[in-house]
Amino acid sequence: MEYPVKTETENKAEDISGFITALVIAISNYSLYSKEHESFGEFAGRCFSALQTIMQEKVEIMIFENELIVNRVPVRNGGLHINNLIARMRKKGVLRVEILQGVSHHEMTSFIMDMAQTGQKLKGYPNIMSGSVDFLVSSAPPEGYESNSVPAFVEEGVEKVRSAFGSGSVFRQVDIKGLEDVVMGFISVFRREASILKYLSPVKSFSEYTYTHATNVSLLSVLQAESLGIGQEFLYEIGLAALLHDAGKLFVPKEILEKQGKLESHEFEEIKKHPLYGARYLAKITSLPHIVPVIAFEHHIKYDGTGYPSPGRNDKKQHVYSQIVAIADFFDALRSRRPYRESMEIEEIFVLMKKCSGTDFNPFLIDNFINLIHSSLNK
Amino acid sequence: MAEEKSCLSLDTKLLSEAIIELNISRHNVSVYPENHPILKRSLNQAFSIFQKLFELRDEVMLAVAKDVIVVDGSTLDKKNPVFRDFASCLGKKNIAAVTFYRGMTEVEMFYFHQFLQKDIGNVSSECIQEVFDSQKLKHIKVSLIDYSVFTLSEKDTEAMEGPSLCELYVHGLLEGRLSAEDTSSMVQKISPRELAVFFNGLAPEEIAEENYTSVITTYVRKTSERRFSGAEMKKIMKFINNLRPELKQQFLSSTINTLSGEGDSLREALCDMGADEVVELLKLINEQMVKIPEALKNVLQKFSQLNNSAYEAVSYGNGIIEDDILFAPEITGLLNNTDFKSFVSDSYQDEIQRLLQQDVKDSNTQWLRAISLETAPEFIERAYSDTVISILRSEITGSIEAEDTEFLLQALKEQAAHFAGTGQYGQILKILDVMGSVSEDLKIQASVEMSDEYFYSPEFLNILISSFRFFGRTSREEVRLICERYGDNMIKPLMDVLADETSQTIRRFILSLITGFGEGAAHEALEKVRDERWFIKRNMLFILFECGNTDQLKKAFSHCSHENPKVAIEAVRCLLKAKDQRGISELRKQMRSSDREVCMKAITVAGTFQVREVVPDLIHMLRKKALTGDEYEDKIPAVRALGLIGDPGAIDELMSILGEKTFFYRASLDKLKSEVRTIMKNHFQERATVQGKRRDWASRWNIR
Repeated sequence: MEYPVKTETENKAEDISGFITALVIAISNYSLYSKEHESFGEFAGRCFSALQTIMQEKVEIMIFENELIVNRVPVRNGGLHINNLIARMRKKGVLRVEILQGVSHHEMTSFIMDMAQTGQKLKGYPNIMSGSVDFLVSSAPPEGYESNSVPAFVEEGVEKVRSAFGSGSVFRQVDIKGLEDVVMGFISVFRREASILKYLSPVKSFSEYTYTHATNVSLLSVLQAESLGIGQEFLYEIGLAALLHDAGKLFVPKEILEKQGKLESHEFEEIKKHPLYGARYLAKITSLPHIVPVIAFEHHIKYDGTGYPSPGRNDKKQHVYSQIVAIADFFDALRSRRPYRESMEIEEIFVLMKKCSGTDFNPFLIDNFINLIHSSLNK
Repeated sequence: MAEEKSCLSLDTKLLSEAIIELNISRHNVSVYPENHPILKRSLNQAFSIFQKLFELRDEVMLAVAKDVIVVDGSTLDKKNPVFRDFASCLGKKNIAAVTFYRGMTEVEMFYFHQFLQKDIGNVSSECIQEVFDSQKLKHIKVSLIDYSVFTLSEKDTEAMEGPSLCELYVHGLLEGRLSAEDTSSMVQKISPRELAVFFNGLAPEEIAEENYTSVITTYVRKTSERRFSGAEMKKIMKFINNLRPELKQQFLSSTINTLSGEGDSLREALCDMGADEVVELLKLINEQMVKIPEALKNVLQKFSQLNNSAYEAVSYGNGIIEDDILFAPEITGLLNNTDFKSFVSDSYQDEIQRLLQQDVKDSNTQWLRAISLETAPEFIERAYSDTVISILRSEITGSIEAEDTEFLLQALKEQAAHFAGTGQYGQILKILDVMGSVSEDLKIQASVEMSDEYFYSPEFLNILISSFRFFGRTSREEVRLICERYGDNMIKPLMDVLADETSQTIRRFILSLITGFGEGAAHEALEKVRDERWFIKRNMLFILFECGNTDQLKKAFSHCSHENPKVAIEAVRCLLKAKDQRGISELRKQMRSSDREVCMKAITVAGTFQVREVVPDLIHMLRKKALTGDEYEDKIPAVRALGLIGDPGAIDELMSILGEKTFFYRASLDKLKSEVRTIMKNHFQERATVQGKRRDWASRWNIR
């Protein structure tokens, strides 16, 4: 069965892909270099020329579900650049952009520069219209969520995480939608409440640990991120990544994970593989932001580059989001009761954290975290 | 009867079975040939269940919302992986709903599945419909997503429900789509309180710096032609007073800055206001600690006509009473500069200074800035790429399924293209490295080969090389490493880019890259030198000169007599480098050329290559009587060449120049003499001494 439309359609699709590629590279080049850099002018120019080739009355760019629709055609074969543009539009709170026929080169260039700025909304342009949709704010609260029952919601979050991961089956795809609801719920909690400790969910049974821990780590990570002034558009990504940071444990035998006594060295070696397993698994889920597998991979790498997996794997340090999650992970792990030890008191954990500040953890983030918990305790 | 059937509700269990079987047969269509028994059995099974459903209804419609199937308005189990798989497959074809009608055959089902198997990529719904219609599936119909129904909404959800005049205005203003002149009349209708309430509802990040000023400018109808009134000032005051604290300061500051430039207008506006209102304005300014521009200060001073000396505080003992509060003499004394030190010692002041310098906020700002840098998508993409590379390099590589590896390699391929376009060559090198290391694992060799094919494809090489134009010169080492990794594969594409390059700087850079390949580049240059375009020939001969071995260099002979002197001289250089005697005779020919440019270039080359054989020709040139200033100066290259060749036989001739005299072209002759002195000093002095020729010429001609 052949598609009679291929040639014309293919050409059109290629033109659209070319436009998107030039647009994204121009945005990246502005972000990496500057307006004056030769490459920015070149790609902004290419973008403008490519725009002319696909221009009808106007060029419509729209995000529909997780797809990019350009001039009413879904662009599916664009790979990274498509995902990149979708992510950038979402971060700008924009779901649709319309570029009118009369758009000038200067206007387009300004728009590209505007898109490259993080944490700022798009400006208005005479010939470029953008639809502003605040995803986080406009999102309806998750089903069954009542504004006065936050702890209940967090408990529900644990349930959702459990169900999202499936019943421990590694063959089941993580239900991202369920996790999105959990993160959205956390973010809305922070908008109304300052004292966060009371929302941490206690571990009720050993088998429940993975899910409760994931939920708590997410909550504590979003809390830290918000206190650092990290833009709302990134909170969702951090929260989601934190929820999934231990996804690799799904691939570690249950007997090892839930072993009551001390782990044998080969068992510990297996445990140490979970960041790799997690990253590999999460990297394949295209609907997840790219930071998710990064955090799953890096959350046991220390601030000074040691830790696991394989220190010195790349000449690059742990991403700051991974540093945030690592702190939350450490705190919640020690605060929780485990088969092989009792939970620790908060101040005891802080002593340990301070001891490891600068080696295992980012010192600035540790100070920030301790301050946050202290102020939460005082409320 | 048929009507009755069409109304019956569907049996959920049966429906589930039908979808499961339908999905199984869909997968089987992709695996087995048309007449394979497994496929036939599978289609038959799905068909049978549908027949049972058709007993209940004439048609079964499955609607799709992303990865969820909806039947009769109810969502089927969202978590069921089969439903999700089937829904996703339909969704990827832009299908919003599919309807199966009674009378559907197994063959139709087969064709429907075939339709679903096709990778349609980027195709509009209209095109998909066309393809679907061409299948002539009478009993299966699809409804495709109509993207034209979506329109742009510039307002947020709340505003869309019932936008007020105020919201319309402010949104327009914040987005910069409204100009102050157009909207002034509209804005004037908004009460100060209403406007303040609106702004109080906005998050600080929603209000850009410039918005404060534009709101004020619009609100007071301030234009270059029009003066503002006291009434408008009062409105602004009311608006500001109703704002929440942090906005109050921002708007007040903007108001003051906006209005302070309008000295006369402002004075008149203040005159319109009552004294209480002016005092209130000043109070507000004090409360908010807003810095008052000098211009406004002057206006206010004039306006208030306040005589500082007339101010008298009520004294009580040695203290002062102000607003019924008694300030003790120590406090009033503290305010007196001379007594300051009795309260604050020098060491204490030092401590305060040090504390001020050690600005905690500042160090936090640095951390926060670093954090904000890492939130950039480019940073995250690099981290993602590093993570994928680490997975591929890790100990678990052996256990990764080929399918997973393929996915990860595909991700790296896409990233590499992006990194190339943005000059992130370090990342590209890492990706190329990992390709090399994982290829040892036989299990995934096929995937790696497939990716290698991409990385060596003209498509990728073009992206990479064209990015060298912009980023190459600032990342020379990384670019060199990339070229090293690609080896000779890179030469031809680089030469192609060189051919079209218009910038001389970039041409030089590309040439430097090409010449880094050594003999491989020379080999390719010999192929390309056949090109008819002179500049290509010249560049190729240059590459040949830089990289060629003796045999390769000698092949340049055929280009020595090229009509373009740049090509010809480049060819001669090659021969001279190869010590080919033909090069000398060609050089001599060029030195005798009537074309001054050719001649001068040839002389320079003779010097550079120290061609002793042409010394008599050079001496002959020097002996020739100069009739003009230019002719004197034209001898300079010959003098230089003789210096470089260093043949002592030229010394006498050079010395004779020093003795020459001219009446008309003294300046030119002096230039020539100066060159001779330099040459003698740099190239002949030692030799001349050895030969005992130093004699008197050194002192005579002032050569030290």
